[in-house]
Amino acid sequence: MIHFDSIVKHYPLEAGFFAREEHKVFAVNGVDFRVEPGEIYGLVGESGCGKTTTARLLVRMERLTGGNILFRSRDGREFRLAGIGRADLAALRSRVRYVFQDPARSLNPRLSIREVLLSGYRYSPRWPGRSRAEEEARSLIQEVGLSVGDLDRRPADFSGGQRQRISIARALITQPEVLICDEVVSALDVSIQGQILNLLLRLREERGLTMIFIAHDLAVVGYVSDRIGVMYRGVLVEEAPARTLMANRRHPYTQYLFESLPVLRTDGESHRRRGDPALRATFSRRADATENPVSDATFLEMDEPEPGHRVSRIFSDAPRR
Amino acid sequence: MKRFWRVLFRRPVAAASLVVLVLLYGGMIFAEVLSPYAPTTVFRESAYHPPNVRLWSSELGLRLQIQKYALVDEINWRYAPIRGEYVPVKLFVQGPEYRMWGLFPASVHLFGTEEAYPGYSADWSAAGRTYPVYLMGADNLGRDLFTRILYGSRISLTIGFIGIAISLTLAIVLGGLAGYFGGFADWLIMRVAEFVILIPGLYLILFLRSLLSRDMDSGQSFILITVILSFVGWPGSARLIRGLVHSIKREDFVINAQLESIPALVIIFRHIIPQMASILIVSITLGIPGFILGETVLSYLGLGIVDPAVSWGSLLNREVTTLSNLRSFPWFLYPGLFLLLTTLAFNFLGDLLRDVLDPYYRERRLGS
Repeated sequence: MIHFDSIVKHYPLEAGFFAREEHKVFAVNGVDFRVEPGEIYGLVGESGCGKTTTARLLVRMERLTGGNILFRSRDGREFRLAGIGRADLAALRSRVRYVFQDPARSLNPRLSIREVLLSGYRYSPRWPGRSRAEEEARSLIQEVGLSVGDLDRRPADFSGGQRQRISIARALITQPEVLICDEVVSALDVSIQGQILNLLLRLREERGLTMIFIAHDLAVVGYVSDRIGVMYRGVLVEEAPARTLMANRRHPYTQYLFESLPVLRTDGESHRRRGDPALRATFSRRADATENPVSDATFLEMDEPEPGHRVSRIFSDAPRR
Repeated sequence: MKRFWRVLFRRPVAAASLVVLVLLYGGMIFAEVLSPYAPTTVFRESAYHPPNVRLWSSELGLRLQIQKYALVDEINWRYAPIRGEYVPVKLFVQGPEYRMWGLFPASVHLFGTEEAYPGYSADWSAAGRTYPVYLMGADNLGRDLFTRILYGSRISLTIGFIGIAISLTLAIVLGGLAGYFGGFADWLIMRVAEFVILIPGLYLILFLRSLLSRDMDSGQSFILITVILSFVGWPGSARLIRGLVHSIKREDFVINAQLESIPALVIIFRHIIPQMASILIVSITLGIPGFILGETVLSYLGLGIVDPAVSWGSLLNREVTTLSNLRSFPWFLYPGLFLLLTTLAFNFLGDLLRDVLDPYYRERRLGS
């Protein structure tokens, strides 16, 4: 179970002795949600809305400015991200693995696939010894759909989809409980996307993985996720089971986001932009990230019109249909 | 390694460079056997003798032999060949005694003559002299230049390696730490590097060299020169490496390695530094001739290798003093030729290695 407890992340815009404290980017402003064990939680939102930062805070690629993240492992161990110690962090990072968007950049081009898989495993608390690890690497590479012979090749020898499979294998080798998939399919073409998504779903079934699935492609998120959280300007504006959200969007930003999808028209009609012009006027403006959108913490309270469907009060003064 | 040979096969220039370097280093290792004399063997009556080895004459037919020369002008040291007088060159002859690698006493040389030198017996062990073989001419004391080049390579060919090893190790360690950790470590290391750069290199070398005892044997001064040269050489590469580390550490695969709890030092030296293999190889291959030339400069100033020890630098500096000298005795440029060959060979080989180590380099298929 992962609980993001009103997390806040601000980046200072100025550094040094004379830096003005108040001059900063408000990346995440009090996001609060839970991810239950075994579910796939989708995070969507436009670029710069803080979804990647939220995920990065969980593995401490970034430090929290405020709030806390609680991760309760299956073996009962609890990790609190604020003020976590070195040993705990290593244990957490072997349980929560991060899969990057672009495998061409997240795999060291000079290492063979075997080294890619084992170099990090060696420092994980679960390292079983060289020969056992080698065996695990062999079975894992087959599990993600590559062959044992591929272990001796280098990342440059593979296609994008194969590289993403390697990335996934690399994440899985420490037998994690949680996989953070940060735009894992957005660098791939559509037919390969499907394969990778099905691989992820299969792995979830087989290994009982929990996943935080970040994407900007709503169709992709809708396909894999059990629940979806929608973010806007560092705030979680709506959260609901995937099916519910697809059918009934309550927050005006969610409505705007879903209506921005281009639609393939076959009826000869022109590619006119869809959606409510009033919503478009409110949300299509590029927001100023140096301005705190949450002036009062009470705005962050969420209504729950039906069980499991939470809607934020902030930004909801835009015209609603 | 397989890939190395495959790429090498397609690149005749690189292959030739490899052969040249193997020959040069082979010559360096087996200098005692390959050279006909000791570097200090003097033929007083044959000063400035021109190269005298030839392959064919009507008297001896097709074989290695020596054309005898007579001194015709004692003021300008001009020689003229004597018609019809040849001495056969024999393989594996007895010559001056030496200790192979300073250990095993022996006196067999790969080639030489067995005819007595005028005024001496032919027995080297009884202070005799045989007729000199000058593959590349002789210097002002009648010492064989080929022998001296072979012995000189012991210094010239190793000073580059040792020097670049020391300075690049310093540069990689300091630049790597500065670039990766940033902050205060970065500030401190870079200020020290800038301080070293600030000192005029040549004066620092002069200062250090004169500070330390002048009467050292050649081995000590060789080590000293290497250390001085590498101490002056590291900051440039350290700054380069620091900048590269600084940019590479933001790559996803480094962040990924950090997430895998890989220790910082392993990330620096196993994941970041190998990414710059091509740049490091280029700076190695360009640095080695730099060190050889640095040694030449020091030798030229009388602060490097001095007689009786030899290096290519000291040979060049000793013999090529005036233009008229060069005009009369052009074979004094042979050490320069060796220097050029070494430099070029290292560069071509460096090119090859860079391509072999580059994961994105694809060998050109035949017909495409």
